[in-house]
Amino acid sequence: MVFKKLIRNRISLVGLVILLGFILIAVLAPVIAPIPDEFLAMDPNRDPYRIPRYGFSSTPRPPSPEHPMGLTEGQLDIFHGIVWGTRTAFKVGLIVVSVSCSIGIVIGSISAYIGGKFDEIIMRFVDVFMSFPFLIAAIVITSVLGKGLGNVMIAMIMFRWTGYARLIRGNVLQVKQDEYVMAARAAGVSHIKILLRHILPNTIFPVIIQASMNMGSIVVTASSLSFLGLGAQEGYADWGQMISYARNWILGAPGNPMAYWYTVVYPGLAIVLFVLSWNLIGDAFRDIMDPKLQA
Amino acid sequence: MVERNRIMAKPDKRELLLDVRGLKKYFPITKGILRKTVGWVKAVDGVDLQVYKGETLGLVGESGCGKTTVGLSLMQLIPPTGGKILFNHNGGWVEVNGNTIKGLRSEIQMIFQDPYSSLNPRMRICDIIAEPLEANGVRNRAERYDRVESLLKAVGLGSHHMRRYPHEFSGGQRQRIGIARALSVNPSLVICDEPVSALDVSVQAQVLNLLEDLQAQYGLTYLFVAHDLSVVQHISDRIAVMYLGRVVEVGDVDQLFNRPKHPYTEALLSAIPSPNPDEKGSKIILKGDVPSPANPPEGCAFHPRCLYAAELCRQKRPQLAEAEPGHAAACHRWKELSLKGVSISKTA
Repeated sequence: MVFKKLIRNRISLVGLVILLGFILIAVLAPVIAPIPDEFLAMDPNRDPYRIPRYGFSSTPRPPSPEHPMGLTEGQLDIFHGIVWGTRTAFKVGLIVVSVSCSIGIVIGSISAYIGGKFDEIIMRFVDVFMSFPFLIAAIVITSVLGKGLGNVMIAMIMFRWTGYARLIRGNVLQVKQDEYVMAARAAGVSHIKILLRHILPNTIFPVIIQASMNMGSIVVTASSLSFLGLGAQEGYADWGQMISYARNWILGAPGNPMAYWYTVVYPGLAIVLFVLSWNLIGDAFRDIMDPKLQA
Repeated sequence: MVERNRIMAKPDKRELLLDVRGLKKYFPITKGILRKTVGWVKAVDGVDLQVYKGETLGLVGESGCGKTTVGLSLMQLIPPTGGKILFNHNGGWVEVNGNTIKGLRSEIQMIFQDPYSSLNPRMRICDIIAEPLEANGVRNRAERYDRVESLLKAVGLGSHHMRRYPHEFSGGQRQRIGIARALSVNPSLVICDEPVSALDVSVQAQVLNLLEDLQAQYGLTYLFVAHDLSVVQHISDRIAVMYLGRVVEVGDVDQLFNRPKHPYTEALLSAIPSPNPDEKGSKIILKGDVPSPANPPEGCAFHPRCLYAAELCRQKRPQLAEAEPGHAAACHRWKELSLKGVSISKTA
């Protein structure tokens, strides 16, 4: 039913099509951008996420039949990076969103359900996390834990669960006053069952919508951290890192500002489209789930 | 101290089912970021109630007098601040508190006020009604559903309703579902928290009749909380009137209606709209509002609004005192006053 409405809505349909495209690219990455034979010959166990390097000159090379999107700084193949970077984007987005969302739901709902002093303490704890500027906090955490995509994800999870916790807490505080929760308590239903059966099914949708909206912004944040040099390893297929390679070439050559356009346009486009698709779907979700708009 | 307020229901001794003594529920008023308690809202401030087996005790009062809080405290849904709740469990007295309530959940059940919010919108009717069974040890799902089916029939619904969701039902039907849920565990006492006040008048009558039928069928005892006196008169055997967290008068329906002994009851009775247009009404309009339960007046809580208040009423709080067998009022002046009731003839 939800899916039908998603398709009927033109805006969400666009988002859905773009997202489907990305899913296809991610799934078919080994077919679309296989490890070139000459690299496989050198190292049969080569990690496909490592972008093939065709030389050592720093100057990017424009698109050609062999390299459809050109080579970025350090002669790294942009096409390979974009295709495998799709997988990275999904991996980062899904892991960060699902883990932080789960932590947020568990902590937020239990805190609200128990309420009182316990809730007060938990929420002050949440406030502490929320008071840090996110990007700076993430930079501090990654510099403590060390560079790498895994650590970037940990940093993001640490500072992202609070939003979900707050959101679900507010909903639970409202729903736990409802008479059907009272009725369940009067019937002697255990607290865990009340939470799982009565409270969460009636509070979780806004959180799911928030999560789908956040998929895009998580990928942007991960890209920013990669751009700042905190994310993926050198040469790892990651959109943020691809943009960071383009940093010196964004302004083009003297007299020709568009000389190296391919170094920034392709990764940038990938990020924009990815974020856009999630936001469109999230928007549509919000409209569909809004009970006021339901017939 | 306990014996003080013991009132016999009827001259013939009947068996007590629920004995509430000095029930109190205070809610803290907090202030500032540290949530310092600066005062207490005395929602229920020493309520004594006796409920006899098989009867319906109506508990009436205006909004905010604490009648719903009494119901919720009895079920320990909000833990009472003080007082004793004794329940006659198969001949032995059990004190109802946070620990013992678990074992008594199949004896005391509750019907809620708002049929629109008392059913989980994401659960099927069969699971809603079966939930108390499941929580009280009926592990077998088929057995639960069998029971649900017969309950649905008992409340005037059918087995074809089992797989539906609450939004597919009308308010009256939803309340029937709520009733079926309360009865699923075969309770002896059902606390009805304004079960018909959210319903249309025509549906109210149906649900009230259903409650009466079920009472006769299963030998239920009701504590019927309501603010509508005509509803209460229809269904109750005895009535307790609450004002500002205390019971001010309790008695049989005809005693209380014909010969009220408390000025507040008199005022309430005078406000019942009469279906007879020729009848000359003489409504007693009470002055002012209900005082704040956070700061109740000295002496009799009703004295600022009472037409008959005397000096004593301002100083000393009256206790419930028996005016005639089975009929008690908390008024210093009941002997001197001849209060006007309404004549009812309870034709059953």
